[in-house]
Amino acid sequence: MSCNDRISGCLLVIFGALVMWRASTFPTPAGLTYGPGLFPSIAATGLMLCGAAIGFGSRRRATPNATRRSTTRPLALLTVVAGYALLLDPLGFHITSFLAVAATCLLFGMRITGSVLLALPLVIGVHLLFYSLLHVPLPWGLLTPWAW
Amino acid sequence: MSISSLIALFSPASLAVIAACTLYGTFIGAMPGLTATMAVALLVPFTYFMDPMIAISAIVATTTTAIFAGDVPGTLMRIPGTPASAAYVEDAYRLSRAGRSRSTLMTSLFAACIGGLVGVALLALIAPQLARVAMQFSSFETFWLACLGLSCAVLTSNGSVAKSFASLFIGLFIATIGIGVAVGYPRFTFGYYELFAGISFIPAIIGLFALSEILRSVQTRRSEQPTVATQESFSQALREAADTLRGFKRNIARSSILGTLIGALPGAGADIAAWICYAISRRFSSHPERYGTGYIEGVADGGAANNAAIGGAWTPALVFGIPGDSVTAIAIGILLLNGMSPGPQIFTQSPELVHTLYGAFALSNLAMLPAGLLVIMASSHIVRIPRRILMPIVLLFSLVGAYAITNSVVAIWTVLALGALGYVMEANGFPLAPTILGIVLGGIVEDNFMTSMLKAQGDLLAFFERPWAAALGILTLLVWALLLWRAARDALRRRSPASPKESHS
Repeated sequence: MSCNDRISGCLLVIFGALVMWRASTFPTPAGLTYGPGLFPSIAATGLMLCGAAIGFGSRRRATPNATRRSTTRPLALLTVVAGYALLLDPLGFHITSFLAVAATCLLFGMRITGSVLLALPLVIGVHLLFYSLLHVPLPWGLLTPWAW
Repeated sequence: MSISSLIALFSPASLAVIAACTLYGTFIGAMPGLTATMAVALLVPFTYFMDPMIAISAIVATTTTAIFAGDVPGTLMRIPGTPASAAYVEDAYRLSRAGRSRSTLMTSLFAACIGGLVGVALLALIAPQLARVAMQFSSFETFWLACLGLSCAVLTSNGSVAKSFASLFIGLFIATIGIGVAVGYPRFTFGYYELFAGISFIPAIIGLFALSEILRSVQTRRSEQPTVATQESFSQALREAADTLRGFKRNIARSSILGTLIGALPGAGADIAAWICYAISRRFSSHPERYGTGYIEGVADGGAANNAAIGGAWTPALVFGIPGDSVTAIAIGILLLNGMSPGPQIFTQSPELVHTLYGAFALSNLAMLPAGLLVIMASSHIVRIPRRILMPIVLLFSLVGAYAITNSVVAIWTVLALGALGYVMEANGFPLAPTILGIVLGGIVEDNFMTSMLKAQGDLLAFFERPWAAALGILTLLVWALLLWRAARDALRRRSPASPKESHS
């Protein structure tokens, strides 16, 4: 997802300004010269200056080869990760991981059988490694009645 | 070396971890598109459950071997497995096209082993001496050192100055999220209790270095399969590599020492060491015209230099607590999570940790030889493992690894946010290394600034009153001046219409 330097410069300036505005509301405790707002303000100033330098300093145009594939697939993968975060607790680790791995396999162009054949042993392996060996309390979710 | 650290190093658990990490590092490094930093990022959740000594050995073994193994896809496919292999990839690839891939890789393996051993020997010699000086440092000096580390990260990154700085400030901003270190005020948490402790470090690096890599790879079309040319037999390759080593003894010695010293500079890591040593090798070679056309001399130099730099990079990390590259930045983060703060006092307070580190370096450089030979013999099969199988595995390990640290889905949202950020940044030419250094050093800079200001009651000139502080401060200001000059020069060059680069784009 590469975009024009003008756009990324503008985004940095806007973001820096937002950080600056939030940081200005942080109270400086009595007796101190510098408060919690100082470092965020420095970072914000830096972001705005760099954003301006990037935005005005460059005349690079947007890369023309930005095809639809190059934006939709990463977005789809991010959706998979977001779904993982949302479903992990209600559905449990095993079901969610299986779905996430299978979906990722499909995104990378594997067939359904291949995806299932990869996802199933992978989920079991990760369960053994993290749950059994490292004792990470992975959530069981829907499978709680069968948890061991 | 003390008995206790020897026992710790040669305990079955430690040896098993080093052996496993050597194989793991070799494998990840040998996969095109999986970098050494990513190998460490995926390993970090496991180190969280280990004894700190073993955790450090694990990181050392993984990076050592991953940097060497980065030569494998570079040689066979002209895709450097890690950026540190990029300097001499052209030579290595052409040698492989001529049917000499195995002897090239073996040369690089042996050079890497020698470089790594020289690197750790120099580290063991230099670091304690430097630590003695650094013992006198107070918050003023540490503040300047951290600033210097941040500035060098910008100085040595390969993006434009403005973009490297922007990347640094993004990291510094991320470091300010959570309750402020000095005054205890929640910043940018928007009332979310989970953010009070700040952005968790491990999910952040997993997002920046692992998820962003997966996002990049899902975007590209299926990579072409390597058409591996004929390869030599094992014994023939071994004989040729030994001949090359004998012929270029002095090159390897020079690049090992130089690579260590370059690695020891804050902000400069294995990739820069390889580039510089390759250039120097060419300058002093009797056949400079053969460089870039498939000539082994540069491969021997670069291979030794990048592994030597790994040892060197630990010098500033151990002595000052200021990381030399993104891998040591991650390692420092792990030490901090384990309640150990790197710095000169670590040499007196926990010398066994330092000794274990040296030992782990030496051991993993030796363990790299069999693992490396194994990978060289199997290399043509390993680089053929398709991404569509590998990437879903990496994704699940990233997500579960991040979750294991915090036991909450906030970690997964962190991976998501920083993965998207890292992906968009790289796609637009923003280097990632300044961001990770900003995240690690941001807290150190702020902490030491606030402590210093409490001591000096807000007098900024106090930062120049102590002799070491003044020297470091002036050095930092000089680096800033250099960076500004470079930025101005860049801007002028880009503005001038006669620039040949601009007319093509």
